[in-house]
Amino acid sequence: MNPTSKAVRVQILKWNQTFAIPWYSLALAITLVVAIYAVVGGGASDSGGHTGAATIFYASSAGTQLWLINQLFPFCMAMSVTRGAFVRATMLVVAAEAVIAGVGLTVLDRIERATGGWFVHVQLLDLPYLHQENVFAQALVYGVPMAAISAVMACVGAVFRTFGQLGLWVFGMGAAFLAAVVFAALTLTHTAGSVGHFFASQPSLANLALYPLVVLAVFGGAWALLMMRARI
Amino acid sequence: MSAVFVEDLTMRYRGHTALDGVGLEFQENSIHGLLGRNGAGKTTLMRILTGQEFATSGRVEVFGQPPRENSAVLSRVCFIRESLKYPTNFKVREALAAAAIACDAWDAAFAERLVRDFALPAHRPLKKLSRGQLSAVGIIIGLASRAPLTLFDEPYLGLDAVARQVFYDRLLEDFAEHPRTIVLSTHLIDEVADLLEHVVLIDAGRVVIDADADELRGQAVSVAGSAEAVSAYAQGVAPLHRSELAGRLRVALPRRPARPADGVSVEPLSLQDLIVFSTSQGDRK
Amino acid sequence: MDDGRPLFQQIAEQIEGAILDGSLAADGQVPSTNELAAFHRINPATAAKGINQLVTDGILYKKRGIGMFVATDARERVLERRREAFGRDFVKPLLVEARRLGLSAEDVKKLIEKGGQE
Repeated sequence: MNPTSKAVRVQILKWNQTFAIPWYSLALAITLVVAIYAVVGGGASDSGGHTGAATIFYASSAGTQLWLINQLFPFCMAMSVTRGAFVRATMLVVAAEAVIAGVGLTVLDRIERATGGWFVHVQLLDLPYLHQENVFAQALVYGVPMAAISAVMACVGAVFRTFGQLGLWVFGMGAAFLAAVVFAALTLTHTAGSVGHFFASQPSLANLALYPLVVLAVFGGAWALLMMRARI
Repeated sequence: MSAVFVEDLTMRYRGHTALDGVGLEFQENSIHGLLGRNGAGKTTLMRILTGQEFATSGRVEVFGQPPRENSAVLSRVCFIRESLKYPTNFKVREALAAAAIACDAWDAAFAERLVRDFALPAHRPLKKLSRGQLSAVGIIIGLASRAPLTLFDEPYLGLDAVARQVFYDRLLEDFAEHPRTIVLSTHLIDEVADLLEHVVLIDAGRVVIDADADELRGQAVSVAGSAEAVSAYAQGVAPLHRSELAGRLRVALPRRPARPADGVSVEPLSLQDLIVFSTSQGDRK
Repeated sequence: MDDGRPLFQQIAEQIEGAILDGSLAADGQVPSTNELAAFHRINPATAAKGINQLVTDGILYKKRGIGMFVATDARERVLERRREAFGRDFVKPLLVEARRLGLSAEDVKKLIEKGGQE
C-alpha cells in the first residue's frame, strides 16, 4: 500500500476524534440554543436573534491537530511511517475536514434560512457578515477558516514538538510582541483607522476566505518545514 | 546479506557525543543483542537506523539503502521502544489495528493469540493500562509485525519474569517459523544470552565487542588460584578484571591462554560477566 | 543451559548422552533444530550448529526434507570418543587433586577398589 494512504488510514482510524468532534459540539449548540429560544419565546422574532454559538464549531476543532501531532505522529513514526507520508496524510485530512465543514455548514445554513431560523427565529449560521448568496462562496466562507485554524494549531503543535515548552513560550511571546509592534506602529502613524477601513471595505468573501487562505499557506508551510525536521 | 550496515557513524548532540565512529553489521535472519549501559548510545543508534534521528556523519544502510525518509526501507522495519508513545485515547484493539495498517507483514491471528498470552484487556484505553501491560502492547506489535527488521529497545519495563519468559518463548517460536532480523537491546543479559546469535557491546558511544555469541561464551574465562600461578598462567593476556584476597587471585581473561593450566582453576566466563567487565565502571552522564 | 561453555557444544553433548543411554535409538529421528531451540530456549542457529557438529562427526545423518537421524554406529562412535576423553577429563584432574592432598597413585587405586566409599 502507498505510504501516504497508510498514514491517512491511521489518522482516520479514530474518525470521530479526527472529524466528528466539531459536529457533536455544533449539534449540541444548535439544540441548546433552539431549546432556549423555544422556551423564552420568540420575543426576538422582530430583529432575529444572532448568536455566536457556531464559533464552538471552530473552537472545538482546534484540539484535533494537537492530538495528531503530539500523540499520533510519534506513534506513526514508531510504526515506521515517514515524516513525508505523515505530512501529506495530514494535508489530505485537513482538506477533507475543510470540505466537510464547507458543505455541511452550507447545508445547515440553507436549512436555517428555509425554516426561518429553526422555527424560532434564531440565527446560528446565517449571520450578516457570513452571508453569501452564492452557495459556492458560502461553502468557502465556512470551509477555508476551518483549514486555516487547523494550520495554525498544527503549527503550534509542531513548535511544541520541536522546541518544547520553552519554544512554545518564545513562539507565543514573539507573536504577542509582533502584534504589539504592529499595533504601536499603526497607532503612531495614525494608520490604524485606514487598516480597519481596508478590511471593512473588502468584500466579506475576501476577509473570510481569501485572507484565511494566506494564513493557511503561511502556517501550513511553517508546520511542514518543522515536521520534516522533527525527531521523536 | 546484511540487514544493517553502519560505518563510521557519529552523532553529536548539544556538545555531547552519543555515538563516536560506530561501525557494525547485522546479518539478515539472525537475532542480535545490542548491549551496553544506559546512556551508552544504543537507543540513539536504533533511532538513527529507523530514521527517527539524524546522524551527524557516517554511513547508514538498512537493507542496502539509507533509511531516512525512505518508505521502501521503513515499511520493512518495526522499532519498539521502552518509552514508545501511544495515542492515549486508543484502546488496545485500536493500537493493534493501527499497527496492522502500518505493518505490511502483520499477522492478525498471531496478535490475537499474544493478547491472550499476555492477558491484555483488548477494549481498555491505553491510558488505563499498567506499565507492564503497555510494554506487552509493544511486544505484541513488535512480534506480530513480522517486520524483516524488528528492533526491541528494553521492551519489558514493568513486565514480571513470567511475562518476559512468554516473550522469549514466542519470539523463538515465531523466529524459527518466520526467520527475520531481530535486534534486542537490553541490560537483562543473563536472560537473553541464550537467545542471541551475535552480540554487539556499545560503551560510551563506541563498539567494544562485536562477536558471535557462542564464540564469546567459549573464549572468555575466569581464572583463580594462587597469585603466582594465576599470574604465570595469564601472562601476556591483559585481564578484563582482577580481584585479590589473601594471596588468592581471580582474573577475567578475554581469551584462554595457550598454555597448560597448572595449579589454577579455569572456568568459562558468563556473557553477563564478560559484558560487565568490558564496560567502563565509572559514573557517566 | 547454564554453564558457560559454548551452547552448541552442550547441545551436541546432550544428544550424545541420549544416544548413550538409549533414549535415541540407532536410525531414530532426532528432534528438529526448532524443537531443540524451543525446548532449551536457545537461538535456533546455535542448536543447528550443535546438530551440524554431530553430522560432521558421523554421529547423525541427514535425510533430505525429513530431518536428522542417528547413525547406525553412533553409539559405538560416542563411546569410543568418550572413553578416549575419560583419561583427560576425569583421571588426570583426579590425580592432580590427589597429589595436592598427598595421596599416592596406590592410595587412589585402593580408594577406587573400595568404590569411593569411606
